[in-house]
Amino acid sequence: MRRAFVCLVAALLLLAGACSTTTTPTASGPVTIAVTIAKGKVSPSGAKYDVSKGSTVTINVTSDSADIIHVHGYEIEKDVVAGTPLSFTFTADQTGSFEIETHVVEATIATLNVR
Amino acid sequence: MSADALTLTLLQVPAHGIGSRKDLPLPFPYVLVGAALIVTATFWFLTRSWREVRLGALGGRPLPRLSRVLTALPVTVVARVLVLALWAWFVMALIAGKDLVTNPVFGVVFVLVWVGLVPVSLLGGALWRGVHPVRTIARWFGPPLQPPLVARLGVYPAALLVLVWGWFELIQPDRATLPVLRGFVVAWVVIVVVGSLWRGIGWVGSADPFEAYASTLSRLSPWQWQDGTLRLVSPLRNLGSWQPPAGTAALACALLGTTAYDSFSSTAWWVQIVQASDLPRWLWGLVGLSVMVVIVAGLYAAGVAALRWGLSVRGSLLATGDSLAVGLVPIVAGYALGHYLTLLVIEGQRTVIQLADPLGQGWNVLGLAENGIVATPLTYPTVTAVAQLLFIVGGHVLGVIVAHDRAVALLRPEAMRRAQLPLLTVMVIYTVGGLMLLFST
Repeated sequence: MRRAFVCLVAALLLLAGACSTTTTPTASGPVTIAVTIAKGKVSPSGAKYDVSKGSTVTINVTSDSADIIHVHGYEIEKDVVAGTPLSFTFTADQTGSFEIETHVVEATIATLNVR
Repeated sequence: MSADALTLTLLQVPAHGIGSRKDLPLPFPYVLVGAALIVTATFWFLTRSWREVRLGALGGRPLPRLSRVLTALPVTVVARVLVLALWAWFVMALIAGKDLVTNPVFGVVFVLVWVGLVPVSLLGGALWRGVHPVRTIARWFGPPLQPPLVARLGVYPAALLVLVWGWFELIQPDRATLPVLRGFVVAWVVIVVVGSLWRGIGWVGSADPFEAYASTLSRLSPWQWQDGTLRLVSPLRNLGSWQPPAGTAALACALLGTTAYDSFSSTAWWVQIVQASDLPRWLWGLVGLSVMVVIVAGLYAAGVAALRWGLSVRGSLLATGDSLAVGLVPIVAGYALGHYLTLLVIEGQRTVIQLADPLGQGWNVLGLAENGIVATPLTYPTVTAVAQLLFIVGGHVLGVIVAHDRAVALLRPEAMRRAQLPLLTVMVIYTVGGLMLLFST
């Protein structure tokens, strides 16, 4: 039975290790996210960005359709005009996990992990 | 904005959904430490386990004077009428409020009720049931003489409705719009009220997913009524002496599966698959939720079946599963608090502030609207992460203790350790799986 538990622990550690390889870009300085909305799909899609508190985050958007881009928690909402590049910047001054979404295409572009 | 009194902007609330901020993913070392603690505690416990039932009797200290106060007619009437008035306030916002995110009714349903019932039940025992609005109204027409649950049905209807609620809360695309929420609340009222008229007031305990959840968690509180007297008991004894109604295992699995899906659905892996697909989101959600619940329930059934295998356990698999489900209750509680406590703290405050003006007319009842949201603990992410870890690991350890005590009652002593191993492994998988999901969101 002791062996069974050792095996279990080993399996868990392996599993944990496998998951840890999917870590995300970390940045302590300014972060720029280039967003493309085309044919009803967003890029990046469901990405994770780790930023440290106080970092400057810049979001550049190009889109083939009118949309609204929304940064949760910071409550930034910007209208996106088709064919016109949009750029905005904010300071990540609250800790937590915040989604950046589009409201017409309804997709999660990225999650901003501010710590 | 100072670091120790971060006040979130109130006027600019999210355009949809509940909760604009989520907890940071659990740092990886925490997951390792948590998993190690869980496995070590389980193993240590298994090798030093006791051989006779210890938690079978409620015991505790009777509190006759407090019982008399709490059951005195003026006290019960005032408490029930106050809570009924509060519900009436919520209903006013639901019926006559504006379809804006500033309408407090969204926060009431998704945060104050669904998440709030966890601390209310863990700290206040049977309080939720005691001031249930449908029960209060039913009392108006006559004292309840029916048994607490509808015979044979147990809490199976509630388990099913937890899944329906899970679909509504996490998947239904327009849940944060007033017409859809109204439809849901009407459905709840119809199910609970019509069912009560049909099967008696015991139906509320059987079918109301919120009450069934609250009543289950109340067994982990330090309060228990016995023969009309309130007793102050150890939460472990309170839970260990409980004979859960039929369907408790299904209810616990539905709750765990729903919470697991909530984490799972925000992992990058899942979001990318769903967003790359042309199939509708709700279909993916339905599949994801079903898979999570099937995994949770399947693992539990396998663990219970393995425990019964070759041993002289009487009763059906479902009966054994329900009896051993006492061990799942602390896991459900720990997982719920680990997941949603910060949501309750932040969005709960936001909702209470919004309740000052339920109709969007600029009211400021009780001066609530002048308050800001205090988010001090959240400015220290380490505090949140440690608390999440403690809830989840603590829930697991309590669960293992109670499940073991229950298994002792079922099993021959010489076969006990071997027979318990599969079920304990399932519990380890649940808890470590929960930690992993919190890490990867």
